[in-house]
Amino acid sequence: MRYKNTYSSTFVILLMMAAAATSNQSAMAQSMDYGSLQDLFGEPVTTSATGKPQRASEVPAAMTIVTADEITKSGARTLPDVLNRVAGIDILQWSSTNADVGVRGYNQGYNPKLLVLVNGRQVYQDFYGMTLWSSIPVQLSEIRQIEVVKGPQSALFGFNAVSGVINIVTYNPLYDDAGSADVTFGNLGQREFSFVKTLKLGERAGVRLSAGGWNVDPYDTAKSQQVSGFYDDKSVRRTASLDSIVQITPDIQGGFEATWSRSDEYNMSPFGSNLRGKYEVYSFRGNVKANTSIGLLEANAYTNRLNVDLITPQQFSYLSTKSNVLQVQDLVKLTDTLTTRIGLEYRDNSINDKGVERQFDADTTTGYKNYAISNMYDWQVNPNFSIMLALRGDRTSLYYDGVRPYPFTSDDYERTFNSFSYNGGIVWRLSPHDSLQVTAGRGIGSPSLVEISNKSAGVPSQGSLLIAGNPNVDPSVATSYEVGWRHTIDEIAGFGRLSISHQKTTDLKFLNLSSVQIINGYPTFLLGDNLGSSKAWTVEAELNGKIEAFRWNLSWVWMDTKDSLNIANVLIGQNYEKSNARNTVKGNLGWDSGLWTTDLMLVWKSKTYRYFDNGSGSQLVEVDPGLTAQASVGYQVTPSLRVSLSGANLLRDETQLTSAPKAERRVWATASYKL
Amino acid sequence: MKTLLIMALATAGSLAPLSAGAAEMDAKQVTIAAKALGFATPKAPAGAKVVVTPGAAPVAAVQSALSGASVGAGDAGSAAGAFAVFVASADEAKKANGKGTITVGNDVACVEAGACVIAVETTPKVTIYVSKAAASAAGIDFDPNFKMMITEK
Repeated sequence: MRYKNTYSSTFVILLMMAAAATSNQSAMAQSMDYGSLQDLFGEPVTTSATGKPQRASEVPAAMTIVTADEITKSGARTLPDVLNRVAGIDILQWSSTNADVGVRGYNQGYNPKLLVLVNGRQVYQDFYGMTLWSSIPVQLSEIRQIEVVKGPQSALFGFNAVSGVINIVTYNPLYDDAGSADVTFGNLGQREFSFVKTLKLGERAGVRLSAGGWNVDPYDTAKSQQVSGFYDDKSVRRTASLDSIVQITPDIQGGFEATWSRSDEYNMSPFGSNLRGKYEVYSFRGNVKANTSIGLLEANAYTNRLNVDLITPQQFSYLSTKSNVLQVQDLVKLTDTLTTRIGLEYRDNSINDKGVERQFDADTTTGYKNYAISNMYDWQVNPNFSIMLALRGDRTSLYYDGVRPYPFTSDDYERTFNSFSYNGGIVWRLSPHDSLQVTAGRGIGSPSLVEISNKSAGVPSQGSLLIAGNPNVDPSVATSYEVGWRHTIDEIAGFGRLSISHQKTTDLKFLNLSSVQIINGYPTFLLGDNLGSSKAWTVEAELNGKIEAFRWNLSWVWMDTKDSLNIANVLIGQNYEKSNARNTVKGNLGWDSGLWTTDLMLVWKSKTYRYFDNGSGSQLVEVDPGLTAQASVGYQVTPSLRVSLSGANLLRDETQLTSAPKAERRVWATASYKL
Repeated sequence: MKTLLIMALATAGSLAPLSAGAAEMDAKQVTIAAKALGFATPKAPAGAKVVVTPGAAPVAAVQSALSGASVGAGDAGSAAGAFAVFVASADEAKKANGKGTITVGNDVACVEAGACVIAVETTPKVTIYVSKAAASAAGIDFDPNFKMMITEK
């Protein structure tokens, strides 16, 4: 019934938008034509900084855009491998296919702090609060660009944009002609395929179809018997998606998207223990955009579903989660220099826990409904100075369906809390070549569904130890301040960049399986507990350029982290002071000539330490990967056929990339045929 | 020497009415202007008539940038029915303006005066200026995303 109401509301809003749009037939309603606008302005364009279309060089945010050309030349076959090139991005490569991605430190297994979107649709999973990168139903060859925004962005994107946002933008089936069939073979038994094709259906409609998958063996390096039980199976990924856009009238576009994916791989838990997850993810989205007399209106309604078979050292669990989201926004150019965006969002997130070994016939459902309103103003004060301010308020109400959620009561789930986030920024063009950027943001990390979930099946015996989600857990709050300077260097067709930022996160949430708390007379371990704060200074320096056939990017990131936790590190499996790398240096050098492209990516990180439970208790493991290298050589055989030979972890037979088993050297060959 | 001085003064006098931005468009400006025209509504029909007035832009560059159009040199008086007219001055733009015709140049003052629909700059960066009044008078609108990224006057 709850979802029925959501869909009814969506339908009414879409009808209202259609009515508003048809009152003005003078112009056209368009989703953004990234390719044409990039071609016009000579640089990538984006909406990820403020919600309005902007050039990459003018956004009031610390943003990096990875282009399709860079993805192709990198030879990378996974999204984390592509993102590893970006200054300030940290990759934890747990296995041959599974990785977690962090921005400016604070990375961990099931990293909850980075919001990831595909064309604006959340692919971040509210389950544990993490991104399953292998389950994202996108092929690399259908990506136009990947937009990386660093720092809290909740006022623009909502919950969980705490350390940053990554928005993956794919080719638009109405504007772009894209198609590719790729096959990849590599060591570790790597077998991979990928298919993408856009189809025009007359003048007014377009469809993009994509499908892909891989089978890859795990690294065959030393590990304990307990780890082998989770680690040694093949990693499997299968995905498919359909995306369509129809120009309904000159002023209205409608879109529909359906995606599906299935993955089976080794994971690292947030507290450093082994997991094996089988994940099935699917989604449906409807979208309407209308150019009206009151602005550019957009409505999105989507549902994300996740089914999980999760094996942990303690148990086997079967869970399913749902996220139903309705978003409406209006983007208006109020004056020649002032633009505003008003947004409304409704979200219903829930987890259905069928319990250990699917033993429960009576399912329990825990969730929350969230209502949000947001407003952004972007003011171009003069050609050299602009100001942006975005505000957002969220009201969140928990709910629970099932038998009494021991040790809590149903009344404990009658909780409502409010949260507030902001983003502000100025861009001051000091000279034609220099710009100064000052930004501030407050981000909200919502409690994950696991952190609040309860799966009571009956009355527990008095004195028995319970493990339960916590309806009283608070969202974590991140604040960040940053000053950045960027200098374009015409002589090398590039730029230099320097930024200093400070971030602080309070009410950090952890799984607390060590501090027994007595709740309504029951000794309890809480799946979500607020246990302190952490803050860090970060300095980033970057130099990017191109001279004739050579292109390069060099970056250095320095971090100084200070934790204030209310619990011993070993009990939560996290120590950010030790796991945030003090220094990270990345160097990328490419040489392109005629039909050949080459690319070399070197990464060096300071020694770090991470907790890992290899079956004999959680221990702090030294991680000292030293210098690591990825490389690729590509050759355009015919206008349609490209072949490449690529590799990762090339400098040593085995490399300790994380606290998980060491990584082996990898080599793969890819053939891409343009369709 | 006296002759040279007279010639120099005469040359300077002939240039005086033109602002610095009114120099003939170069190939890059023409290319950017042609791309900007792609965001206009209604779209240019196949074989659309495009007129290049004297001193506005190299005709060959315009033809190259608008390969699907029928591009020809002419004065503002020959602009009737044209999809776009490349102009060198506000006076020409005023003469060329008509329903469905987009006047294009590189003189921002022409847009500020409401005479030209589009003016382009390419240094230090690509900047597009559009006169809302001139566009409205011509019955022209632009892609809403494009309008968010340009300077409307």
